[in-house]
Amino acid sequence: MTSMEAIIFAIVSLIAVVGALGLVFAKNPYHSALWMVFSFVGLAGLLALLEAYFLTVLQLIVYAGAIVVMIAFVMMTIDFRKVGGLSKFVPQWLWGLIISFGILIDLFILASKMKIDVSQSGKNLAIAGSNTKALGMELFTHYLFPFELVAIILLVALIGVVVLTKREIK
Amino acid sequence: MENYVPFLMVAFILFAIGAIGVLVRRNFFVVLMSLEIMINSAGLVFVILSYFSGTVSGQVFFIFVAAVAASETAVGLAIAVLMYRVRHTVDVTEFSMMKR
Amino acid sequence: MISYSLVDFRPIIPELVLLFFTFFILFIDFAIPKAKKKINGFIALIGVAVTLVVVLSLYGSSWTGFNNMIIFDKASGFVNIILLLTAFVAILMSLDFIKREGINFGEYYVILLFSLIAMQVFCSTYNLIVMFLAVETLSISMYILTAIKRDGLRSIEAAMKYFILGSFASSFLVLGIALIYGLFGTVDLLRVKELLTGADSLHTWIALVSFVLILIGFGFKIAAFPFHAWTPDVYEGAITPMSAFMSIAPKAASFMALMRLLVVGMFPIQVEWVKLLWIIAVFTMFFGNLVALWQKDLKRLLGYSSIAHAGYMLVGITAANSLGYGAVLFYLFGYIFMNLGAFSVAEYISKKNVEGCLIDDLRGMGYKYPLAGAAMLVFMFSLSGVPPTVGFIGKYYLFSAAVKSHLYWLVILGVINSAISAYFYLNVIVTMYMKGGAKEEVVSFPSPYLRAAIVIGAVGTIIFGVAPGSVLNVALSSIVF
Repeated sequence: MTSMEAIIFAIVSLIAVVGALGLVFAKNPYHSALWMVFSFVGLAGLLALLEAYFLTVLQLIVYAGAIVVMIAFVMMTIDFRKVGGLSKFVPQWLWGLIISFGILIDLFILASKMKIDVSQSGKNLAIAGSNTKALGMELFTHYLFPFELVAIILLVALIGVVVLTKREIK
Repeated sequence: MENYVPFLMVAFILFAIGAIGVLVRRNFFVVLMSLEIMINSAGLVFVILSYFSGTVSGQVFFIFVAAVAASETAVGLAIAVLMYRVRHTVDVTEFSMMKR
Repeated sequence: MISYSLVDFRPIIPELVLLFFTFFILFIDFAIPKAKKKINGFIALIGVAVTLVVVLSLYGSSWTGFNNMIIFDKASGFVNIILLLTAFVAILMSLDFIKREGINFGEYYVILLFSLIAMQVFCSTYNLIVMFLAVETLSISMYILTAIKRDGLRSIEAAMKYFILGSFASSFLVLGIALIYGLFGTVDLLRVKELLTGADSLHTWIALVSFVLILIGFGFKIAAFPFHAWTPDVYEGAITPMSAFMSIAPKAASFMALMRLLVVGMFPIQVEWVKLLWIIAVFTMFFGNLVALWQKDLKRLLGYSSIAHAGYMLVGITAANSLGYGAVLFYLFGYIFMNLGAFSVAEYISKKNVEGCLIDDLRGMGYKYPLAGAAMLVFMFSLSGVPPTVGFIGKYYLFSAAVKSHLYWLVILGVINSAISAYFYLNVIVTMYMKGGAKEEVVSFPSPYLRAAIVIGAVGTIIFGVAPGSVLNVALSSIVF
């Protein structure tokens, strides 16, 4: 890493982590939603640093945009006192913390031991200077079948949500 | 860039923070957002490994993960609406009719 | 440059046939008046039957398609048969039930069939990404089908718990797949096997950790021990036909996918995963059976019993020989009849808008409805593994596979568990015949289709118990790896 990259890396990862912490520990769920935007912007920065430019835009539009708006919109339809007035933590919160720290330590050991071949690092991610083109080529040729499966997932979610939330007209 | 460990560390920290949110919060909406953080950071691992191993398929997998996460969130929100409709609350601990 | 041709569509012929019927229901649903929504169910029934015929006629072929993303071999053919039979009986159970409960939408069948397609894909691929997408389609459909009784307190509670735990587990699955991808540069299990064969100890160790992360995702679907927590709640809270469907079909597909992961992808580290699975199998059996002893609700009891049965099936995989893998498939086949039958009886005596079904409600049922009582007797005997039922034959082959691999302690613990389980299964029978009349009169749910489901279950349990020969041979020979 050059020093410039290291600085940018430090800033965006700090944004992502602080955003995530804010999400988890904010009292008010509306604030949580805002912290989530913050965290996702940081994540998008990480993606840009990894030269995944298409995914950076995707992250900003789909996650920081659409999904947060969707969640916030549903929260708005529900009485604020019911959503905002909850006490924060479940009674067994200590167990949750212990389990999560266990996971974190395991994954840290894994990250320090992990060995991958970096000789190709940063290569092959673009065709003729375009990351989007490389991504599209891979998505629509090699991974055509999973792509079609994703269509079914989205259709199931669409139908399911309509079925669950529609009210019968008496 | 040759050193992937800091990137992996950030992704794993985000994953663990998401796990804390799922396990300790009472509010179903916050649980939903924490799940979102978890699955997104797992997707980030795909992109990190895609960059350092020089294959573009990891980025394709991120798109798949994002699509799945979006549909999961939609269904989760529908369940939240139903929770509110039957009990007028979104507190996950209030839903304990069935004993363990 | 990759190009696809019509040849690539051969392995997904069953899925395509089912997809055609699914879309047919989706579109025709608009034209069907409210009083006649049952037509949707009949179309779904025909669709499943046609697909079953297609799978039977294709059985034995071996195809791959779409860049090795999807395959069709004997094993996936056999699991397809299990899935379609389960769906057939579950739709029979639904036909009148969902009308009584006021949830008679065409979309119910659409989502059921979509989840069935996802399971078919899930059990016939070596590609981890396709597995992930299939398991997610299947989970999302299951969340929706659990919550489909939209005003039921218990069903919403069950759906919420299922959703949180399911999404939690699937994020671990994604992480595990990501690490496998980073380690080997591929998500194809056949390639992973080649690369893992010559790997050094560090790679092997990291591969094992990634595998454990994937196992969390799969273990959740099959309700193995540390990831079982959702099972009893969901089985109690969901509508009965869905509990029945959920207790078999996703498990069958997940067991097949687990076998592909372990036996093919993880073959070079077999010694390690056998140890891990040994522990999981023992804990799963003991947990399921011991907690079931205190249950008062029939559907909840069947939930815990299904955890225990997942433990028995894990014994077959732990044996790590082709007899064990074949025995798992045969056990799943027999499990269709006994478990769907037991759930059908629970539905037969269920009351409108009551999600649970107490064992005490069964009092005096053996005399009032002698046929249903006799059928329940058969199912309970079969679940506890008494000859001459299919449950006994299935368990016999699972345990003899373990003996063949010299896992004597595992077999002893398994047999002890069978003995424990006999207590609560017999308790159901005793309640039916010997505890006198119920406080409230037992009322049956008059549906000819439900009766057909009970009859199919009882006949299947006995026939495949007395003469398992041909199906057993097919199951044992369908394992090619």
